[in-house]
Amino acid sequence: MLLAELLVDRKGEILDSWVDQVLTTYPEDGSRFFKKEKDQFANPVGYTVKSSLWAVYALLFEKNEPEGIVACLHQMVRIRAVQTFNPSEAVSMAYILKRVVKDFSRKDNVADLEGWHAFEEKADILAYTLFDLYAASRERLYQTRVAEIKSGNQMITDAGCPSKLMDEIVPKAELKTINV
Amino acid sequence: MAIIKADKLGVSVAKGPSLMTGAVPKNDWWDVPATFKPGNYAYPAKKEIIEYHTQKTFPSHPGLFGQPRDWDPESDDWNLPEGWEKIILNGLKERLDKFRSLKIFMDCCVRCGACADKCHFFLGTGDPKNMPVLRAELLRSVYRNDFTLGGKILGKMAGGRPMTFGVLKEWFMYFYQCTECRRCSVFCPYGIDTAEITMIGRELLHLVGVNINWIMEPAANSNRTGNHMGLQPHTFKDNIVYLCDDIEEITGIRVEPTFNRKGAEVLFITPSADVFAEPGIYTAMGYLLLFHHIGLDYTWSTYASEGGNFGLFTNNEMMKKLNGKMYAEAKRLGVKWILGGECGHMWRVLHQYMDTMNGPADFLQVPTSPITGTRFDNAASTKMVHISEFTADLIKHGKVKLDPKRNDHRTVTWHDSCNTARAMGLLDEPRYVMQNVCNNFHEMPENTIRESTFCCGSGTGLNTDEIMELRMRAGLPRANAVKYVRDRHAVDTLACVCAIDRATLTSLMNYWNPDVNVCGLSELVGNALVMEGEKERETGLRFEPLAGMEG
Repeated sequence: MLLAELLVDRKGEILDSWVDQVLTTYPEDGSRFFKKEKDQFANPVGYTVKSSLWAVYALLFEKNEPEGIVACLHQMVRIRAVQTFNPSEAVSMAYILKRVVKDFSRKDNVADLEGWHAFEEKADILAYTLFDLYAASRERLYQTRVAEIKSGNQMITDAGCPSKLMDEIVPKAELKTINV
Repeated sequence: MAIIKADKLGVSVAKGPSLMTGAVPKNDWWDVPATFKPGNYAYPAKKEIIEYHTQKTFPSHPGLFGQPRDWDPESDDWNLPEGWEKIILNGLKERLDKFRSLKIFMDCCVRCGACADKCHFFLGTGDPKNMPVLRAELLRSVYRNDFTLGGKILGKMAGGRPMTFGVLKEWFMYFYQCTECRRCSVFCPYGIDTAEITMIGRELLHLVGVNINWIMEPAANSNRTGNHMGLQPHTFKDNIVYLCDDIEEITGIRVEPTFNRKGAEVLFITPSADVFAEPGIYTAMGYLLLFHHIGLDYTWSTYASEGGNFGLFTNNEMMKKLNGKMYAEAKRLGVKWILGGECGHMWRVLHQYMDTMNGPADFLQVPTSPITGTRFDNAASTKMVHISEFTADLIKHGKVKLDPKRNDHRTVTWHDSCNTARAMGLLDEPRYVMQNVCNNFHEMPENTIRESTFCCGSGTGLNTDEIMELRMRAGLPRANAVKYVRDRHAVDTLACVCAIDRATLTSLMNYWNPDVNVCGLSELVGNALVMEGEKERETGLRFEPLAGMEG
């Protein structure tokens, strides 16, 4: 059996295992809920992980359209980027997939070196993309924080009384242009 | 460089706490200590702020906020007062005697789990201590240990545990990972208000001086200048005048509001963020236009210059004092009733607590709209009407001229702000207003709106930037529903009636849905209002071009 055939024939089982292992990275009680609840609004984490991984799997191993995976992964990585993971664990999905596929191929005795090269290449594309998206999400987080600070909301805690501050730094006539 | 195998890497990251945000609980909750790391806690209150509250806000209540001091949550020594455990237990006893609801909530939970998966913090983190039932258990376990017979005899076997420093740390972590939004309460078959458990938890923490600056400093400002921004009267007034200048530029109409005017029929009170911060200022421009349009006899106050009640996030004494300020000003000015702007917790305090704190406000009259004659019997006790109720009534009676096409440059969805939706049932009035002022409106999915609305994730004084990641994961369920209507209907505007929402949803959208703007409902009203004698409108209240008017 070729690896490419295994990836299609046992798609459901591979994906179930992949999703399960990714969701196992959460605390036990959270993980149990994320795996069980089907409603996408009652369970945004579980639903997003599942739908993202299914979509990306189809693009990589069925349709052979790796360029489309960014859109599938973005929301999932945004979520992982603000949760309590180390960066390596936040984007560990590609490595988890490799482990899952290795387990299945061992069971089915798949010895297909060329197939493995092709698979590894796609899994690496996935890993690089996840890394890029993670970095972009963190960047976005910091921009969000900076934007909020610049919006003036922080003035109340960090600069004392805004009225006094504005009197000190800005002539009254110019207030209009900076305060609103 | 050594290459680490993926599976080994997986083991190491799963075992150790995150560098940024602390440990992910992997064991039984009871055994997982709260670990404070940069990013997972809000900064403690500054010493001088606590000194201020001790000396100025409550000189008659020494110890309400503990001993003023510097302390570091990451340290193992929080400089707690001698006998702090006793202070907490005495505080709990006092509150069990004082608040019957607390006693009931401590006793009647059967741990059915109906609330467990309803909290946005749990949905965003998967941390079991963010299940409302477990968050309550942090306090309930101490209650059992010291206040129930079973707990006194059997201790841990009966689910009791003594008050220790480890428990105190858990309290500080998880009572500040609750926005008191009360979504869990909607699903509780016993009606336990888990937000009130958080409130009591925070009150007890205050007694030993464990609190956060983003709440205590705004509360100090509110006590000192009347508003949480610390705006003094002249600045408050100046800012509104600047908004009037902008209104004149956009509409050609000069609006002339009055301030601290005795004898006005109505006192208008709104969050100070509406006067000072984007995007609230556009909402304030909407108010100013509406009141001018209908010729309302009203006044602003530079003393009751804040709707937001930071007391709700601290303790009942502070809540009472800040709520009382609005009514003291209404009495001083001799108005008939109060009209309230787009605020969140002001309305929760008003509808759920005021009557037993400062009310009923018998010196005022039951609010009656001078334009339509409608008597707001729902506000017969508090004498305060919400701007959305007031506006909906005006529209219903055909008293305002509206051109909803002026909001055609926007496709809008509606966020039910927790406090107004769940605490006062304001569900249909804003939707009615929305339907009359804009043409492109799409609801978010049913289990994310109305009574089941998801919190912005940063309420109850958690809207501070040092916990931005925490806020983003807490706001995920809300942002996820917004994403759905954005993807499906090209929604680009998230409207709401809460000042904290307007500030925090802006950041939330900035991260999750960067092309979605946030606005107040009254901004949309202001855009749509056809003012008598106005010039042709080319822009909205943000100076943004209107659809069909570009160039």
